[in-house]
Amino acid sequence: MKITDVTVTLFKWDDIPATFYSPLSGKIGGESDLGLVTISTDEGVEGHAFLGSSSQPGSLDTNSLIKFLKPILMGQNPLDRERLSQSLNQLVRKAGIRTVGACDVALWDIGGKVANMPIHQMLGTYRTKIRAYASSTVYQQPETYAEEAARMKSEGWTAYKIHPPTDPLLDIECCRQIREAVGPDHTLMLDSTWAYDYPQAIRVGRAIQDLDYYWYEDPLADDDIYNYTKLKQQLHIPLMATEQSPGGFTANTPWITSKATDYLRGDVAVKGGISAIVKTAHLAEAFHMNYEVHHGGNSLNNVANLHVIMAIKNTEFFEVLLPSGAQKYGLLEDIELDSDGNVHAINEPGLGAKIDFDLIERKKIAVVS
Amino acid sequence: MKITNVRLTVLETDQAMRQFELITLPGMHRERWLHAPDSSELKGSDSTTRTKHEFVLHVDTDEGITGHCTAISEGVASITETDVEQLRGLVLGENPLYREHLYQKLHQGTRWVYRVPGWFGAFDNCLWDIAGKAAELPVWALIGRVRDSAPAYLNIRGTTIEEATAHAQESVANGFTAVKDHFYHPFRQNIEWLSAVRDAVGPDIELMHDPVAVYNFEEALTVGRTLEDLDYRWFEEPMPERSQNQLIELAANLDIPIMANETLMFDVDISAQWLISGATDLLRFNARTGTTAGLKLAHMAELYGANIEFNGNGGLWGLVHAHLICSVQNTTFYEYFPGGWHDEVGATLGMMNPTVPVNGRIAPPDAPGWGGEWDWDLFKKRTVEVWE
Repeated sequence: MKITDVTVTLFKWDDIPATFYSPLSGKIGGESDLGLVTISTDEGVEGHAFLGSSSQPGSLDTNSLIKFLKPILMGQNPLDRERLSQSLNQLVRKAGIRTVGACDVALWDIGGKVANMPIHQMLGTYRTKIRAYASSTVYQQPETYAEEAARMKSEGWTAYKIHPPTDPLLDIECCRQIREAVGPDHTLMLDSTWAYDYPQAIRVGRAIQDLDYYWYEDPLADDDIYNYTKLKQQLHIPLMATEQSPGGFTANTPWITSKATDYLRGDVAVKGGISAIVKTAHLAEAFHMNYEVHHGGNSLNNVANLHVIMAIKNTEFFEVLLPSGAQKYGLLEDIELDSDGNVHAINEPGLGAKIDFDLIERKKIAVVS
Repeated sequence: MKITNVRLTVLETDQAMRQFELITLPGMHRERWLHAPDSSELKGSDSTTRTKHEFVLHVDTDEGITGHCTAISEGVASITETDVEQLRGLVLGENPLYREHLYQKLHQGTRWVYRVPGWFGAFDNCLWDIAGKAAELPVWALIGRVRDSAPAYLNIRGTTIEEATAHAQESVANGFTAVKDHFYHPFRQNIEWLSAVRDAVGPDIELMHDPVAVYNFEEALTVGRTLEDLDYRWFEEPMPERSQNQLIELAANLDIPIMANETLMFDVDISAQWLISGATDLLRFNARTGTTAGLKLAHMAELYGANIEFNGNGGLWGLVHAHLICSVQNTTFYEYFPGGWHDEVGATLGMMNPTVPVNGRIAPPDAPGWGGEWDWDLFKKRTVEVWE
């Protein structure tokens, strides 16, 4: 079996609702685009992945993928995934991590289609469903979070994560009002998006552990392993880092051995695909730690993440970033919550998602090859 | 898909059951008990009353697919009829494609069924065989291959320095690019032999030293420095695992990688802890403990910047390790024992394509699952007992 072509079909994503996640990503809304990555083979099997998100148009990465990664894949056996994944990762400095992730996901899609198995089954299934949490956008008023958290609880969600305004005192007030709104038993997490310095992180951390928050995510700069280590000594709330830590998944080990985090974290887009996050989950498992999977930034990446979640034990949640209009696009059926607050495994071969090829055709901007 | 039965076949080989005699070796600094050379496995059937048995586990499913894998070689470890009964009780009715669920259940539950870690490894390997057959893909394609073939190293033997060096040279002439010894003479004598082997094969052949844990700390340090000068690739099992604190010190003091966890490699969790604690630089692993466990350990080691090196044939007379070595990035060699009793013996028992190096290299087959080619008539002929 040989790879005969790699293309990226760019398609428009209109009408994205006005959304704010963090000062880093700025204001989102209106237009973006995604790339449908297609790896074709001489046996007619095609593997797919989506490149890009509502805040990071796929068009920005498309040329890198075609220029740097396509030559690695052309003519190769797509079932030699580990070799190809190692080679793709060698070029991450040039091509960026998202393109590597998209190629790896598409290779797993081919593997699953050839095996006639969903990817979670190729990996070895552990579970068929998992709890989901809703992950907020950024609001300026504590009341807005509190109302949203309470409403989502009433809709069947069992956990809510807040992305706060990143002003420490205001953040604490938001967390307090949310806890008050949902009561003592609802699972709540705080993701401070790398916003604080050490004194701020301590202050917020002490407040939210008293409010019985479940984890404290990315309070400090993503490379600040020194202060994470100090912070972890001071707080008893579990600390979560490594989603965007420099060096990628191959540089996660020092975070464990330095006792700088209580979890490892990542997703197929920011770590280089299914191969990367499976390995890192196994690393975490050896240290009896959880690997908590970050949302994937687009619908098909979320599907890829979901397959890994179904094949590892040491993870607890599936993240659903709000609002749907800025996260879900390009599939005929997206991942939806059941009445118990869970999401379920997809059991079709490969990624198993129904890609909306008609929509992609209608919204097509260009095919880059 | 559902698991409908777990069965085990006992096969009779032509090989005499090994009975070891223990002797003390003269010239050591202290008393060490080693097995006598004349009972080594090359010697055949002289001192025993019956032949050795091999065990093959079978996992049946309701869709007609059966997974097969060898389960332990008699004299290396053991599997009992109660183990198979216990396994059956835990897995009947389960979906064999839920490997991670079954792994976690059996692994976490090991303590509560009073078994040793890795006791269900052959069962796990049968699940991989089933998955490959269900997918109509070789196991290497399920995991994702990293290389088409891999070099093997040959374990040289010899009762004199001349025999040992000649065997090394003969191996190189047959295409092997790497050889390993099991020299367990007094350490100064070992140093002479190790130097002689390097002289005999020249600078371009990879050499590994495995003294089977005969040294004490000072001896290991001295030999280790010699190995560094002689450009050996690794130093295997220099001391017994009970010397963990000294192994940490040894690994810290030597540049040559130490591979120390051989007799506890059946416990992947403890093996990982040994890597973390610095008591070993390379991880030893044998897939008789199970492929799922091995891949986890390999992934952990990769992100830890360490290699995992596969010990012996790993199951199905070499097929299991052939697939894994070609699917794991951070590993180097297949371990080949000449003499036929580790690999070629499979063909006398009904699996006609054991892994045998060709020009010093091995490759996994492309047929579904582990790709064993079975002659079931021959298999039946060699069957002496069935637990079902």
